[in-house]
Amino acid sequence: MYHTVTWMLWLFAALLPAMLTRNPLYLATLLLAVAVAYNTIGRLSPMASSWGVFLKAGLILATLSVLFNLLTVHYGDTVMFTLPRLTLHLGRLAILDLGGQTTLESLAYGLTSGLSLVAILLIFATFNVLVDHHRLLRRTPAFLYQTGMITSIAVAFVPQMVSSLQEIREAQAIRGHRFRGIRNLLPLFVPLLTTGLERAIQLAESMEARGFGSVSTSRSKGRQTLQRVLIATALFGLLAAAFARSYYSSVPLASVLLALGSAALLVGTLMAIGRGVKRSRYHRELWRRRDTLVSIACFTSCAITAGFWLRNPNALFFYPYPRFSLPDFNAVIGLALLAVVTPVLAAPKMRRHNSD
Amino acid sequence: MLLTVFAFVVASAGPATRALAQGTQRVGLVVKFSDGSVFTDCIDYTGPGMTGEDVLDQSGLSLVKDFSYGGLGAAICKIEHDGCNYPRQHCFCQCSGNGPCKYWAYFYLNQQEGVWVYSGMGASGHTVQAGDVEGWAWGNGEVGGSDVEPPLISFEELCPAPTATPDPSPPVVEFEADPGSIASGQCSTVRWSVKNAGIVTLNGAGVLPEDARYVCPEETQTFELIVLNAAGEYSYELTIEVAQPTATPPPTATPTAAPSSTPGVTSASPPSPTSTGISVEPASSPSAPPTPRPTVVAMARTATPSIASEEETDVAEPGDVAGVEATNTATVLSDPAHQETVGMDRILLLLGVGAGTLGFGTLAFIAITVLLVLIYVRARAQF
Repeated sequence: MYHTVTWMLWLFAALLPAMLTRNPLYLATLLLAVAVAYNTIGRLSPMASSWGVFLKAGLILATLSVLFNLLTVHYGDTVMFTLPRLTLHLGRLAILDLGGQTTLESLAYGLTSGLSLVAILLIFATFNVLVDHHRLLRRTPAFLYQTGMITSIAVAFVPQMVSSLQEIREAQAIRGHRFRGIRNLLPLFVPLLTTGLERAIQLAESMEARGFGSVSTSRSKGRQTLQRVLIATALFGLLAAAFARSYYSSVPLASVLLALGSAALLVGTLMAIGRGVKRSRYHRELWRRRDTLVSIACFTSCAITAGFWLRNPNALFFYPYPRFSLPDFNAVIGLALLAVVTPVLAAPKMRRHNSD
Repeated sequence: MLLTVFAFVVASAGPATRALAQGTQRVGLVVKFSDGSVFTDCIDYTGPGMTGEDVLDQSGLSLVKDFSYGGLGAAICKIEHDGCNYPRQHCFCQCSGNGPCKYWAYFYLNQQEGVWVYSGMGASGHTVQAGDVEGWAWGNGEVGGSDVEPPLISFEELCPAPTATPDPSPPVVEFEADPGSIASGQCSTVRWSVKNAGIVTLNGAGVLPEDARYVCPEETQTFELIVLNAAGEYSYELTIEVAQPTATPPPTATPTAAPSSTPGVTSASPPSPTSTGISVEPASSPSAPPTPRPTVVAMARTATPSIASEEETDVAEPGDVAGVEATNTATVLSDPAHQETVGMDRILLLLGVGAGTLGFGTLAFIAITVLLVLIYVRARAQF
């Protein structure tokens, strides 16, 4: 429906505030916007049913974060209740300190951390469902072709497993199997394992049949070795530059020159490797007007968030300690977060279950 | 960051040193600032489980802490004027990995060898025992020999045994408010200075022997300073009169209700050590018979019938809205042509009241949430 580059921009526009802000109100808005995107356009994808699993995983993570924070942090002025305190000492070192005073502030901090985790998880879940993995793979730079291929297989693995798990569950339920305890899970996992192995073998065979991993004849053995040595040298140069910048800051020019030289060497070598990989295109993606609209919205959103982060970081920050106060909400940032739902607004009119 | 990283480097804390002076349960504290000045204090030991952070808290020094390390405990970002203003700055803002790395280094004294030991754990994780000495120094802290160690001061020097003052003499107390009487909404400074002090509490909370509090009471408030030393327990009271804004007492009311504007300074040394509850009135209060304070206040209230109506107007928004709406409906009745603008007025008024009570940010948040739900409802039918 949208261009792959548009989706990549969308991912960036959603991920940037999720990473930068610690304000629960912005995170809640972002979460809601992502949920709207998932439950509307995301439902066109065959993998859309994995939403519940991601949501559950996110909620478990958030609960753990809240519980951990509540039990281990005893700071904050507003004490809600006092639990029995459990402290383990190793000599004078308190290795474990649980319970005691439970404060509203630690609850707020735990909730914010949990919200941030859930937001990041759901953004990736939504991106996974929305983007076409094959098209995404085609966007990877040539030298990264093999890595990109493997990554895209890995990324598609979880949703595929979830959908096959549901299929097996349904099939077993039809046969009269009921899942009550751990023992009853065996008829679920055995078929899952065999399906997974079967799929892996099929994938390997089909990749081999298409010549994946074969070395092109133009690259001789000596040339390969040279390329590897050059990459290692360039990476070592970058490391040395970082080291020089930290410990010999009196001569900044040397570290900058070293870093630039190493980076140029790395890019050159990778481009040379990429030239060896030949890829054909059967189908060219179309860049439509709606792609332009969504891209502009995402870009503006990123600019606003980054602008606030650079100029007024306090607006994005929320810190409940030492005394809880309600977080601020800036309407400009709130509106910028709405860029996440622009793909929904700009989408063409269509009937139900009729994918583009 | 370094402090927390190092927390895992050194795990042993050395032998537990007990330099218990007879009958005292105290902990020494030495803080060295960047300008070389040194703060020392002797803190009461509160019992097992007291941590280095508690010691620092009770010293009365102003602290900025970073609690975002969760179970690792708090990081000390700033003590008094040295350090970083978390969360505006990073807690270890002068330690960015590039160049000098300054932070509050935390030490404890190994009293057997007479050396400072760089603490392998954060102050929240390090439990202290009575007789310990804790040290803090601003600068480049390092494990094993740091160039910013606090000066070596022994526990005996920090917390001299109380037998040094053999004759129990009553405390000499100065307890004053400046100004002694204020109007509602204004503030006053309560100062005290206690010589021969043991333990000093103000309204039940432990305080330093010589300190001040900036207070803004809404109503007449009494402060009670209790001094406990070897000679006994002494109690001092100080009342700050708060005049209600328009509630001028009628001339027939008791003259003592009119508060004095000069600060009450009292220097008192009570006659018998066992006496408690000695009330120290502001010195310049009139020589009228000592009426109990609460009664005076109550009389002043009942003497002014205007208080009730004043409170009603003070409540502001709900009352105001009712009032404005009433006038609006009046206009509607007289001129039906203005009906539309009145409706707009009402919406604007509601928005204004909403923004006033909830804050603009909360309203914006609610508006954006509603907008998202609307988008969802519309798009759901489409896909």
